[in-house]
Amino acid sequence: MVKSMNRLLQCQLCPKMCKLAEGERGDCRVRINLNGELKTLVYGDPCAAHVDPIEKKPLYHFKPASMAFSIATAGCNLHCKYCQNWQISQREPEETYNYNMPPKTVVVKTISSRCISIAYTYSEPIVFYEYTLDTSILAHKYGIYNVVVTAGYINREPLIELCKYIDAANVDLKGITEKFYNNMCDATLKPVLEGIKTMINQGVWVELTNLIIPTWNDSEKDIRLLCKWITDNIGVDVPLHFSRFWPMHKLKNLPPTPIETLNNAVKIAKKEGIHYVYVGNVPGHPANNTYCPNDGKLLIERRGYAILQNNLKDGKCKFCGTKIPGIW
Amino acid sequence: MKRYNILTSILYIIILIAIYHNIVLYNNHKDSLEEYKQNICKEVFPTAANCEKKNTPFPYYIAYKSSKTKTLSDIKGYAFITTELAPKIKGFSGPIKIIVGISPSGKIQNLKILEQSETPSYVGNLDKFIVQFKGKKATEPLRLGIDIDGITHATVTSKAITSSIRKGLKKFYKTIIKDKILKTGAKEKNESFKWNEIIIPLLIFTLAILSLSTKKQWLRWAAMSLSLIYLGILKAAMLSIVHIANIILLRIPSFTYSPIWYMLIPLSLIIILIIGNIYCGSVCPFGVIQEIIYRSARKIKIKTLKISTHTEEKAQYVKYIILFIALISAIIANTSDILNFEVFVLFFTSNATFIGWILVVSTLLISAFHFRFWCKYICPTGAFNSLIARLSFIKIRASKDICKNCMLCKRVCAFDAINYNDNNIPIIDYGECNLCAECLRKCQVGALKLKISHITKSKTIPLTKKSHIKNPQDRIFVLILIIIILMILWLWIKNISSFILTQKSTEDYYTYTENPQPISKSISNDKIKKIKQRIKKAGIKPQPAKYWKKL
Repeated sequence: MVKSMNRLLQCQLCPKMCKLAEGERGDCRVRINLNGELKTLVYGDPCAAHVDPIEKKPLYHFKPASMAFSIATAGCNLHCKYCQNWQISQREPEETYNYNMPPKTVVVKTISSRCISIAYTYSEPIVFYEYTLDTSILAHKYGIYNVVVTAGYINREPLIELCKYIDAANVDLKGITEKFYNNMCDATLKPVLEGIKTMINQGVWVELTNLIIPTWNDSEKDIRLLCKWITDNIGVDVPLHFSRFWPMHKLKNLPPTPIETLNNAVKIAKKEGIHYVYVGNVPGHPANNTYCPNDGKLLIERRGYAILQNNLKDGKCKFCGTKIPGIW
Repeated sequence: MKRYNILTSILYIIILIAIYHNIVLYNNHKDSLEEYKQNICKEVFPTAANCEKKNTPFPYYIAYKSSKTKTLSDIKGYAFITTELAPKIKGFSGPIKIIVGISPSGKIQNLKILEQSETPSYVGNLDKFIVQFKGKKATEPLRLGIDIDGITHATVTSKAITSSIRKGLKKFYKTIIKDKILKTGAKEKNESFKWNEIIIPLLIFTLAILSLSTKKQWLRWAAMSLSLIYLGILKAAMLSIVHIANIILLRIPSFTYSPIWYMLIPLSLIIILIIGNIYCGSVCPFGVIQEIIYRSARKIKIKTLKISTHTEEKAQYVKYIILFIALISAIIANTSDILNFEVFVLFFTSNATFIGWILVVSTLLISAFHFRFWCKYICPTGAFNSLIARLSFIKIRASKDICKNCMLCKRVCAFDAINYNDNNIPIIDYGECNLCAECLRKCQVGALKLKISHITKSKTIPLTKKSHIKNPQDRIFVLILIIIILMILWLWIKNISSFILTQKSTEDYYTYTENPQPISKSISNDKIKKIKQRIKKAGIKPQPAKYWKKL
């Protein structure tokens, strides 16, 4: 016992700061104390690799209609009760079927499948931090963009290092109360908010997603609070996606989010002054499109993940010349 | 009686050392205690730069963000100590001192137990219990059982903590933060004085003493069954080495809050000092269970485990050794928390680890084959009681003139407490006698009587002459004894190590208010091997990770 006590170490990647004894894994299931050293079990072993439209992430202000080579490994440092990818995120890497894909292979596959970006997505790129970092460094050398889809639950220092190589991020701001994060995600809110601010300060293009769950975070007050935080802290130009909840994992007792709730949320967000508010998981919804905040004209028309028309010119509105923020 | 003189003097020395130790400890730490008190709010606001104590209208503390300015906006939070705000509320065996940190908006931000002396089998849950209060507001009713889950089998403790935090919080909120309290549900009931906690223990002792003086067997069984139901099953309150250690460490609760403590611990010790060890014989609920098992095993004619007197006399020393080591270790650690190995505490609070349950079950099993195995050879509480009982004023004595030297009393004594002097007159060994009064009852000529005696007159108890008659069952007995002692040692060491570990880690654990932090548990070497094999089998090559540090 004394021996293993001596080998106690602390992972400092995410705010959970797990203290690990010999042989013990962190809360994320992929970082383990082996022989007194912290090792990652998912380096170069993704369990999912797909070619996805960038709109699926969702990133609406980043190279519309482009394809992203998307990879993910097992494990996640959050344990959301409604996780949509729980089959991989709430599993140990031994339990999933893994491909052998070192960073080099990922870049080669990205180029050969005509993708312009690599998306680190599905589960949580933070828990395969080393893999994400090495791959994105290599990708930048070949002119490939890096995109992360994350919950943003990470400590400041590793985040700043990662931000050097990340071009765009979709951060899932799951709720705006500590209670929601405590009860639903096994995490805390504050580091997420700090993380979002850090990313924006480091020059990463950030879009936010908020999944609206009936009875949990669908109240007008919560949505207003969320929008207020955005306008007060990171500005009105950050796109906000309200996503429709679908019964999943441990939260099958709730109905899918009613469309009215989403419409209502969009209204509140617009009223608070956020320029680009979208609705996700509802194909054909008018709020899938991008409208010019100046003259209200339709700029990008989307249906599902397809782009029907694009009225942007050099990142500016074709009609009035207003600059639309994003990477175009 | 030579051996008892030695044992008793060891006990005296230990008690004296304990009291001296406490006084010295207090004097030595007086200054650092003052400093600690000055900065006490750093316990709950570790990042606070400055700490100020206010005494009006009641003692409380303010934590400031910076060390220079003291404006309202610099206030990080407030803190109060439960014993200072609600001084009457105490736990089962002593006050529980908790510091509660409150944010300026009136929410509980953090709490920490500063001092407590509860029976340790509850203590393991105490940390989990108080964490429930985090984030609660003063406006919430904080009802036990509805808003806060209680600790099983520790109702008194959970009640004490909840009501002290609730009272303190409301008092604080009303006057300092000056906000209205929503009157919801929980009324501050004045804890009515619990008469049943006084009457029933008194009744039990009266029945036991009556059974001794009237020599009536059924009175003894009445006392025993009442004690099993009330003290054992309902209250889970009994004389234990933990309480003895608490007395030695001068941790004593108030009478009004915990009358049962007074009825049980000081009263039974006083009764033992007057008439002998009647507690173990007729009151102790675990003794009752063992006796019931033994008697029913006799009814269905299970063979007993008989051992030679020589082995038995040696084995009887074991309990004294356990007592001394227990008390010394409690004094060194300056806490009674580590003494949580007694079977009856584990059993009646039904709060034990795996090994703890094995110990409970095996003790109960052996009691079917050997009369009160735990009481006779292991129980440190019994050892303490018998060292006091030796000094008792009233003792059983045989009159030389009447005794017919029939040796019947020795045969009926289930505790093996009767020896003979050279004239074949029985002498009661008060170190072992549990006052079951079987000898008084069975003596055909009435030679044995309760008499007032003086310690100075006490006669030497002759040890049985070394007979060296070896009983084949002796080996089995010794083996069982060793196994039981090993199990106790295991529990003991576990308690001590967890005590040391919590001493070390409480700081990190409690000050971490922002983020939940899983606590690591050590994994056995076999399991580590299995984990490594599993990783290898899955074809995973562990790669070095970034951002970590050795602790």
